[in-house]
Order: sequence, then C-alpha cells, then structure tokens
Amino acid sequence: MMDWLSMLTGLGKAFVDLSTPYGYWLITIGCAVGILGGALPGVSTTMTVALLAVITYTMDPLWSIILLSACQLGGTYGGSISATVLNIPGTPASAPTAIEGYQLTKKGEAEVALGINVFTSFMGNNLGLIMLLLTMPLFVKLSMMFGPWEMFWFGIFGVFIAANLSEGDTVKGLIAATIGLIISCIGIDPIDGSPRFAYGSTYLMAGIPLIPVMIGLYGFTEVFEGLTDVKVSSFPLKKTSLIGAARLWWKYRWLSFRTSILGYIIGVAPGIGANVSCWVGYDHAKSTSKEPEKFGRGSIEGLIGSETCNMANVPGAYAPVLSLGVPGDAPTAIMLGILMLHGIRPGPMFLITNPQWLYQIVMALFIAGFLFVIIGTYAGKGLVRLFVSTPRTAMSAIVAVLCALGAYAANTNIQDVFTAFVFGVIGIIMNRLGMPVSPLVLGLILGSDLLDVEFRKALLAGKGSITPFFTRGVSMALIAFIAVILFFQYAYPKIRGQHKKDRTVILE
Amino acid sequence: MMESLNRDLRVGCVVLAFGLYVCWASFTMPMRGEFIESPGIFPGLMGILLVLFAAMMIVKAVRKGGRFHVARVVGSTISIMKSQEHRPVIMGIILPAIYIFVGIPLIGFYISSALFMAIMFYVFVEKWRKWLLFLPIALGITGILYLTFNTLFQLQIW
Repeated sequence: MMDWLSMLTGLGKAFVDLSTPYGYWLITIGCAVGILGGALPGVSTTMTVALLAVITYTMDPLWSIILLSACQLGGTYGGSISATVLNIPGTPASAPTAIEGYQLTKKGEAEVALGINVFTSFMGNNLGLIMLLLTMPLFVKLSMMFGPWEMFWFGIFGVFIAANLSEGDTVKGLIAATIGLIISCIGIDPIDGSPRFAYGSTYLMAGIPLIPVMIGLYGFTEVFEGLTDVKVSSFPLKKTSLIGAARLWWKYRWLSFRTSILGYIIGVAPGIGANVSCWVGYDHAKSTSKEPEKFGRGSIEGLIGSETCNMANVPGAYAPVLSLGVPGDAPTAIMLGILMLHGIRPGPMFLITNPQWLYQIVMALFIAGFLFVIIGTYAGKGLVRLFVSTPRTAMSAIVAVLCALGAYAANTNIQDVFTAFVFGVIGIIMNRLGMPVSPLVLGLILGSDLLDVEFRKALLAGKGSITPFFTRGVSMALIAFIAVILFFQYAYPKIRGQHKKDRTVILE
Repeated sequence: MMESLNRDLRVGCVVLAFGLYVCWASFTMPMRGEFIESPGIFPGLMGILLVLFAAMMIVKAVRKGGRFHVARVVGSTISIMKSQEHRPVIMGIILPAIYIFVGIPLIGFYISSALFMAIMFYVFVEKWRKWLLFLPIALGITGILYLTFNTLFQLQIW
C-alpha cells in the first residue's frame, strides 16, 4: 500500500478526485468558515468544527472529513489574525502569537506579522503533510503490533499527557480526566450489555453524546463568559506582503523545520493538540535564539516557532486517528465521532483497505493551505473590521443560538441541547476552579469505547492476569515513554531549579 | 491565595465524596460472569483513582494552610450571587437557560432564537437600541440560519 509509486499514484488520483467544482467548493467553505471561527475571539477551532459537523450528517463520510479537516486547518491559522491585530488570541493555539505579533502591530508592522503568520502557517502545514506521508507506513505497521494491552496504554498515555500538559495544577487535570472517563461509562456496557449509571433513563442508556458535550464545554462556556465585554482597540493596516514574509521565513528556515517536527510529534500523541504545541515551538525558538532579548518585544523567531509548530500539529493529529482510531486532538475527536455516526471505525486495517482516505485528506489539507494564504492575505483587514465593530456581547448571543442549533441537529433531540447547556455550566465552573476542560473531553472520548473495552479484552485474553500489561514489548515502550514524560515534567525541573511555566496571556 | 486554598479543600471534599459514590455504585453492579467481565470494574477503578486524586488535592491544600469553614460555604455562595463581578456570568447563564429550557420546547427553535437574540441585543448592546436596530439584526440572522440549515442543507429543524 505504501511504496513510493503507489503513494504518488494515490496522491495524483486524490488530486483529480478533489479537482471538481464540488470538491473545491467544499474545501473553500471549510477553510473560510474555519478562518472566521478561529479568528473570532470566543469561538474556538474545536467549536467551529463541532458546529460545521452539523451539516455533514447527510454527506458522504469522506467528504465530511475533507470539509472538517479544511475547517480545522483554517481555524488553527485564523486565531493568529485577532491575536496579532487585537492582542486577543482567536484560539488558545495563538496565545504566543498574541505576545509577539501584537508588539509588532504596536510598532506599525502589523502587515509584517500577518505576512509571517500566513506564510509560516502555510509552510508548517506542508512540512507536516510530508511527515504524515513519510511516517504513515510506520504507523500502520506499528498498529498491527498493537494488542488490547497496547491500545490500553496508548489511551492512558493520551489522557495522562492531556492532564499533565494542560493549564494549571496537574492534580486538577487528572481529576478532570478521571471524571471524563467516568462520564464515558454512562450508558450500556459495550461488553456486558448491562446499563451503567442510567438510573432508568432511556436518554442516559444511549450514553452521553460527544458532540453536544463538546459544544457545551467549548461553546456555551464561552457564551457565559462573553457577557464580560472586552474593549478592543485596533491599528491601521497596510497590505500584507507575502514576498517579504517568504524572505523572513527563509532566514529562519531551520527553526521552522525543527519546530515542524516538534509540532508533528505532538500532533501524533493523542489528546494534546495545537494548544500545547504552540508553546513548545515558542519555547524552542526562544531557547535556540541568538537574540532572546527580543522575545516579548515582537520577535519574528517567536512567531515562526509557534506558528510552524501549531500548523504541523494538524496533519500529525491524523496519524493516530487513521491508524489506530485514537484522536490526536479535539477536532479529530469530532471527526472520529462523525465517522462512527456513519458506521466507520478507523483502526489497524482501515488504511490497508481504504488507502484513498489518507491521500484525499493530505491533498485536501494541501489545497486548503493555498486557500488560507489567499483568504488570510486579502480578507484579513475585513475580518479585523468585523471584530472591532461587533460587540462581544452580541457575538455571544449569536454563538448561543449556533450552539443550540448544533447540539439539536445531530439527533433532532431537544435533550441534546439540554446536555450541551449542562456541560456549558460544568465548563464554566471548572474554569472558575482552575480545572482544565481538555482532559475531561479526552477522558470522555477515550473512556468507554477504548480504555474500558481494551482493558477487559486484555484481561480476558490474559485469563485475568495483569502481567502482560507490563511484559509485552510495545507495552513496555509506552510505559517507558510515560516515565520519560514524568521525568522531564517533575524531576528535571527540580534538578534545574525551575517550575511549571505560567502560560496565562495578559490582555492589555 | 488563602481563599483559593479553602476553595480547593472544599472541591477536594466534594470530589472525594463523588469518587466514593462511584466506587460503591460500580462494585455493587450486578455481574453476569466473572469479576473481570463485570461492567463495574472500569468505573470502579476510576472511582478509586478519583478518591486518590481528591485526597492529594485535599492534602496539598491543607499543607499550604487551607481550612474548611462550614459557615462560610453558604455565605460565599450568596456573595457570589450578589457580586458585581459575577453578575454578567450569572445573567449569561440564566438568559440562555430560559431560551433553551423554556423557549425552544414551547415555541420552536427559530422563533425562540429570534426572540432571544432580540432581547440580548437590546439589553447588552446599547448602540443597537437606536432605530430599533436590534430587531432587524435578530430577524436577519435567524433568516440566514433558516436558509442555510433548513433550505440549503435540508436539516429538519423547527
């Protein structure tokens, strides 16, 4: 499936299949909606993907994923626009961009920052796509070696990493993740068939639906917060220069290559996502810079590091979802949910029998990359005017309606809207308590269908013994990887005398 | 700082109680076969982990000086409800709650959405009260949503 000739043939066929008016229209819509959603403060990329997913229920599953992947890419880039011009990250993944980009804006160089953002994002996406194509054969081979023990550890790894690397206290992250795992158990037990925590309710017996929960946690939470209006000021914008941006990127191309590798690896690890990779790229740029004093004052290297890293993250997130059926981040978790609605569950054999999925997604993301360059270069000024002229409180009301619509459309069940609202309240309580939301979401996604099922399958296969969890080769490699993460998270900073970094972005 | 530690202590106790309940509910679930096939084994293990993490949170808060003041729990809840700082968030929850739990079931999605947006724009966006701008904007957005989802994408939303 994955030799060079078949790869080139597959990519060529994918390009031909996508080069139809319908294909280009779908990718353009996805990309444009993603950029708009990502750029709007209070509307995250995940929420935009969740809301756009509503219109994919009656579509062909592959076209659904193409639309949503273009949306994810556009959203990940779009957050940098408001971050640069207004000092308000449109998405959490653009927080470092706000630090450096807004400083450039204050110096009258907003178009330089916007140009860097768009070109660097374009290159980060393409570098990530190349790595996805090169590493996918390895992932497919690895996935064939995964038994239920390895699937269990991979899921634990994802939940653990999400809890560990999220904002705030790690214990709170672990509590959020565990609560998510428990909530995922509500419904019918997939192995035994008995109801769990349903209390006689037919709604609960079907399990807590994923999309309304994500709309609640990422959408309604922002609606509730949105009535605190944030005053924004903006600066005049000149035309963005792509050639100037390309020259600057070329000057720092090795930094871009290194951070794209980092971003891709983070994308592959389940449950982390661009919200973390942007900081990893930014930290790497700062630690390897010859001019670290420029960071915080409009550093081009800071912009390149964070933007390349978070864009390379996007293709990376598709590696585990296509090979193992484990989402790399929240938007791919939504896409996995859409596939399951269509009766498709990606796994170890999926790409062997459906290789066109990989090539179509790669080609769609490649085309979407060109589209966001065009839209970002020419529509950036219009988007900024939209933000400044629309009060945030009005935007919150519109977003509330969109959230209700999105939650209702999945099953045309009003109780899904109630569920979304309840999780919105849970989300805001968690925010106030300093508890991160992402680990809860990942626990919900990976809990019952993956961790629970694989854990019991492993116990049954081992006749009740837990020894294979710790003695199988791939299992030991995954445990070692978790141990390395723990070491660098806790022991290494103590050796170096450092503490967990505060990632709070201060809005001026 | 002290208030956040006290809050962490209270939250830790609530999570601990929840974890204990999950453990009890999980390990008392009826089993059809062996224990390793039990539907309660995974949530039960998660309950144990939750109890452990809650205990860690409580110990951390107590070590840093947090204290549990029963009398202050009610007082702090009332002060949150009354405070100016939290009022926008509370209104931001109550108004959408009325829209979702009362409006949509009673009068349908689009009518309730138009009403909700009109009220929100009127209350929170002062510059849209002039020329009654809040009305055509709310109706316009509702119309666009109807055309997009019901007409273009053929979703049956009423």
